[in-house]
Amino acid sequence: MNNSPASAGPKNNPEATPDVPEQSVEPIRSQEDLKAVAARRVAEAEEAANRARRQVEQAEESADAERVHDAEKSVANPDIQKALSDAGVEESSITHMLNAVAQLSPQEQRELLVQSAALAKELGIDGIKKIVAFYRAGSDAEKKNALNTLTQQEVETINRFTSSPVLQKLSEFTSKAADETSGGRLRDMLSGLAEKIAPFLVMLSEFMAEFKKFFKDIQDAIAGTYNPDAVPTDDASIDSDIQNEKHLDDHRNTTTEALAANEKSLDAFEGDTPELKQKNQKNKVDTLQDQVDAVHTNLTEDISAEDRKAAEGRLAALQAALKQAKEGQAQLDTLLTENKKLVARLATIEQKLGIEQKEPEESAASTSEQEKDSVPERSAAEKQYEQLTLKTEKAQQAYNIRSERNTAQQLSIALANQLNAAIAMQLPRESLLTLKQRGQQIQKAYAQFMLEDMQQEFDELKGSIQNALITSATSRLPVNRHIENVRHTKARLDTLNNLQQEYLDVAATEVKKEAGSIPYERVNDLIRHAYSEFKKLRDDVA
Amino acid sequence: MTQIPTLPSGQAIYDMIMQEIEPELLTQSIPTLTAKYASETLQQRTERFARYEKAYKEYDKAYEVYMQNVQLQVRVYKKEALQSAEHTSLQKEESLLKKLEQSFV
Repeated sequence: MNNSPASAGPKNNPEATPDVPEQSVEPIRSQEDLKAVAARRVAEAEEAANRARRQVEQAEESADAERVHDAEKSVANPDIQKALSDAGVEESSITHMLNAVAQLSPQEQRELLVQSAALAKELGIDGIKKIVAFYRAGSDAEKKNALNTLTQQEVETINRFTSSPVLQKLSEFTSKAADETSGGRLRDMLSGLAEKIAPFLVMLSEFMAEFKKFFKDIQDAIAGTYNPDAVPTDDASIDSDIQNEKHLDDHRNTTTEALAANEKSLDAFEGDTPELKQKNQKNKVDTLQDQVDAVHTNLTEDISAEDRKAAEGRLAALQAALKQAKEGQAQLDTLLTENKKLVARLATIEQKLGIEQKEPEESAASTSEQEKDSVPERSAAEKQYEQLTLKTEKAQQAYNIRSERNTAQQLSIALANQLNAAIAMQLPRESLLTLKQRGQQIQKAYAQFMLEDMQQEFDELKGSIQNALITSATSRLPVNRHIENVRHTKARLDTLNNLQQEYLDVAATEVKKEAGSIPYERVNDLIRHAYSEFKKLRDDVA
Repeated sequence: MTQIPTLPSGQAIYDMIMQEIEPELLTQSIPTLTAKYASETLQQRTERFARYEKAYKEYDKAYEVYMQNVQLQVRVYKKEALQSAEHTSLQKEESLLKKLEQSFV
């Protein structure tokens, strides 16, 4: 359904006959009168839009309250509450977690709590007991065992939850949360649901780093590239590795490489220090912004057509330069943040390795020497394949969450790229077959989405053609024009029906076949042909 | 899932409605009119302003209809948002079932 304002407009709603009394309009005697009349209309529309926005916000708040209430009911389950209290989560950890939750915006807090409650409900008492078991496990082996008891369904459910933006944000806060705020005051601030869910969140946050690695192992196992000794590449797993003194040499090398690349990118910005770079970039943005504002002001004045044209040209050039400068500013901020993180990580690794901290230049030089001697170069193909696997995972997660045409298309492309890379790397036949089957199945889902979309578009167009005929019948058109309209309508509907039968129905029959035996090229041709004919007709109707 | 009605700015609403009635009265066009009609006679100018007055009458009517539709959409959204929240658990179960159906791994 289209909820855009255009669909609410008079042009697109011919049946909404304006039953509005004739109103008087302010007299217009000069250009100033005209500007004032227009300005009043704009202000009135702005105010009405603001009122409507507030109403929508209120509706959202009420709906949120309803969702929180629903979530509270779901975690009130005594079995769940008992499992959480049995976990023996320390009071200080709960306070720490509540501190982190309190740093989220009220809306984010509600979202997090509702999502956590939904997760607890979806996992059920058995799933929660597994997380409790993981939390209470002492050794790495016990933890691994606890993780191994998770079913595929539970893995997918937890993975969906851990990918949510609000949980990512909470993870940042849990690592920084200050303990000085009193737990009592915080609990007054947060809802009862936060209190009930907090032990669960504590367990989950500990669970996360290990779980992410575990999930990657599963994906690799599916793709036939599982390597239990693989060096992780995501931030959380790297930090966890460093903490547990694993793969220190590997992480030292990759961090040094990343730091060198980061500093090279930073060299592109003017200034000797980070502060100077930021200052220079900000000055650049401010100057361009002032120039854009000046041209804007110039354009609102009454100027000749020639001057206007020149000013518009200047404005376009300045806006492009401003956009570029702003992008540069954002890139610089990201690079500097990344730089701090990498420097801190390298220091931690070297401390763990017992290496004395050296001046940056010396350190970089010695690392590059070491690289030559000890680090085997990983082949470009391996690196590329790893990146493609990550891309496929992300696309798969997005598809699992949304199951829609665009995510199916992204996943289909990602799988095809991964398959090509796998063929180039001469991976085992089983891995290629698995990837191929996954690709075929997602292509089938994609084709189904395309067909559903097309059928819907056809039905909508038929509806508008029929509506147009009804409007024509109720208008005061001469009889011969009306007859002509009927003839046109019938011809258009016939064309649409023929297109549906000749192309879409045939394509739908092909898509019903087993994935792997569907002739996708033919299906695509049929859909493409139907769409091009359909588009001509739609433009004609419009 | 209920879609949130999109509410454009006042200027966008004005321009969207006026576009269909009198393009010369779009916010971007008004400042250019003085230069465009620099050489018109007093009679022509009077006629032009009368045309604009008529256009604003039409605009006011169309605006009322537009706002009635916006209000209708907001009311529908409010109603559906609450209903959707009330049926969250039901929808979740349905979406789980759908995912199972579409699962291909």
